[in-house]
Amino acid sequence: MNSSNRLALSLASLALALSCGGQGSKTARPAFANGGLLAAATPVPDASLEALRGRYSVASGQDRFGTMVAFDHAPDTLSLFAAPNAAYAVTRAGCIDGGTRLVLEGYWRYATTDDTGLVRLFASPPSAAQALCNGTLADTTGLELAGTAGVGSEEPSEPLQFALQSPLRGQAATPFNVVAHRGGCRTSDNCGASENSVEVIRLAQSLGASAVEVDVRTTLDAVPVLYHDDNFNPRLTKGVYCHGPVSEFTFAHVQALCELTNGEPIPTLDDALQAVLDSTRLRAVWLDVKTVSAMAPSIAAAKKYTNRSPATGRQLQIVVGLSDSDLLDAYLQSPRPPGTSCLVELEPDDARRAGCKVWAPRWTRGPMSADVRQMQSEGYNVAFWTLDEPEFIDVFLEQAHPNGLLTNRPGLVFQRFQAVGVQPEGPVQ
Amino acid sequence: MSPRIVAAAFGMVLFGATGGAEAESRSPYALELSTSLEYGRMIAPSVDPSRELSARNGGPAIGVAASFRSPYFLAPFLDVGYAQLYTSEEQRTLASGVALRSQNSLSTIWGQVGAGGDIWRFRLRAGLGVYRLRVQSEVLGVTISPTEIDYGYSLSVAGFLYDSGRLRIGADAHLFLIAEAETANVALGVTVAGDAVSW
Repeated sequence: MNSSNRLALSLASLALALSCGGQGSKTARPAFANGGLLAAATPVPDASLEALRGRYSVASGQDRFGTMVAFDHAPDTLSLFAAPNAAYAVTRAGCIDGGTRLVLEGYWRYATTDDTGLVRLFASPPSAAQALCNGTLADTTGLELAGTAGVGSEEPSEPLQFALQSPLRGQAATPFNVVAHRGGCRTSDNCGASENSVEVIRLAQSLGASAVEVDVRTTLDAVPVLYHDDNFNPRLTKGVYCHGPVSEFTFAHVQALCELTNGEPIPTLDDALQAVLDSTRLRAVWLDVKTVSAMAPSIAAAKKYTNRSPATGRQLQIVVGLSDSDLLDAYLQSPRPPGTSCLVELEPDDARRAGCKVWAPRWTRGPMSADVRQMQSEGYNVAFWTLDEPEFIDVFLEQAHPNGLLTNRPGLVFQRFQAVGVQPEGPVQ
Repeated sequence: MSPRIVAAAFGMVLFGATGGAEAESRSPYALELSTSLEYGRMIAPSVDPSRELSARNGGPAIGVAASFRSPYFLAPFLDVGYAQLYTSEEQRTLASGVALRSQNSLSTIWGQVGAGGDIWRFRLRAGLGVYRLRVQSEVLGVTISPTEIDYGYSLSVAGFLYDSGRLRIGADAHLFLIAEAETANVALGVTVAGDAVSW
């Protein structure tokens, strides 16, 4: 090799080294070889998964999951939420051995470190497991989930044992909402799907969310799409030609040139809201409208999908988010069909002026307990954004008693609410 | 320009081809102008060839620089340039089954400042600046040309085959990394430098 080739190679290597590391590709979730025990399992009745929801004490596995975990049921999954390292596990359930044993298999993950591994749990005692498989369990007293956890794709061997202690909190008429930021998590959180994708919305409940916040802006041809930043960039997208302001791309160009970091298409607002209705049981959607041009289509979509939701057996709340005075003015000047709901991030008086249902102050303003009580007494819901650290989450839950928290770690907020949360005041969501 | 020719030029520099007066005859102070004509190749990001109907990685690049040379080792420079990065015709099949065909190109112009130094017949320069990235794309008969400004870095090395003291001609290799766009390009070519003013 002559000197110039060596030089060029060195330069290319340097460039490649510099260019690596920003792709956020650590989304792999381990899975059991050949489908694990679930490959030969029969389905578990939905009511039985509901019966497994609750607060559990941890008899074995405290090093990994702490002393108290919460289990919640999303469509097709049963998830565990713990405080240490914002740990969570997402499992699927099945009945084996002729319907005498109920097994949960899936993965656990630390939201703070990306550590992950496999988890396998069995319901016990055997009589309860058989009743769960038959859908006849009447009494959950003494119910336990016991099994093992592992690291990476290794067969799990660390013992786990969880004992059901009590039902979940916050299931009353004014439920507390865990609102997942950017549809479920940020791309940089590596939760398994890119932020603001249909895929992360489908995942959100398994991560602990009961509501999602998504970002809405419009393309050159006025199609509302989910995307956070002004520009397409490698932090959120990939594609050789996916550079420049979103507002300078037609939606056809977006489809042809761009995809989200983990390969998902950039969804339209319609795609996203249809997925919320079809694939989740989420209670609410917060449309964080990023531009004035996105206001009218967001209002229209909110109305359209709110009206459709009763056909899916629930009343989905879709609120139009107003984060600054320009957007507030645009909202007030837009034609609004009756029943349009909005959320104001500014002052309480702005929420009153716009007739919004929700006041959503930034968490850095503090718990503002008196203001929260006042707004709740006037019939408003209050939600703070964006809280990810357990110490702060606890302060807000204990002092402000909000109706919801926006977070990048929905499982952590879910677990902290179960540990220290107080039933919120305010109107029925 | 063939990389083989550029490699041969570097080889000639290394093994002592000479021309004109030696560099020692240069004036101690000079405002030097230089231009380079190169052919480049985009080395990042990676592309998905499965969607490409045709593609050309890289293309011509041209740069013009002005630098202040003094007896001190480092010479500050100002550099502007243009590079064609990637051109392709692609077809992407959407989940709906619709196939979208696009004709696209990516290019950049830049302005940067930096510092360089001469060691024997070689010149090494490193710069930091802004890159204006330009996409041109046509889909369904609609053409868009979005642009964005990113910051980036460059590194270049030149070897001079001919050095008359006031005029130098040689080969160069040039790498730039547009950091915010995670796009990198390496180019090889010829460079001509001369003293516009010297004292």
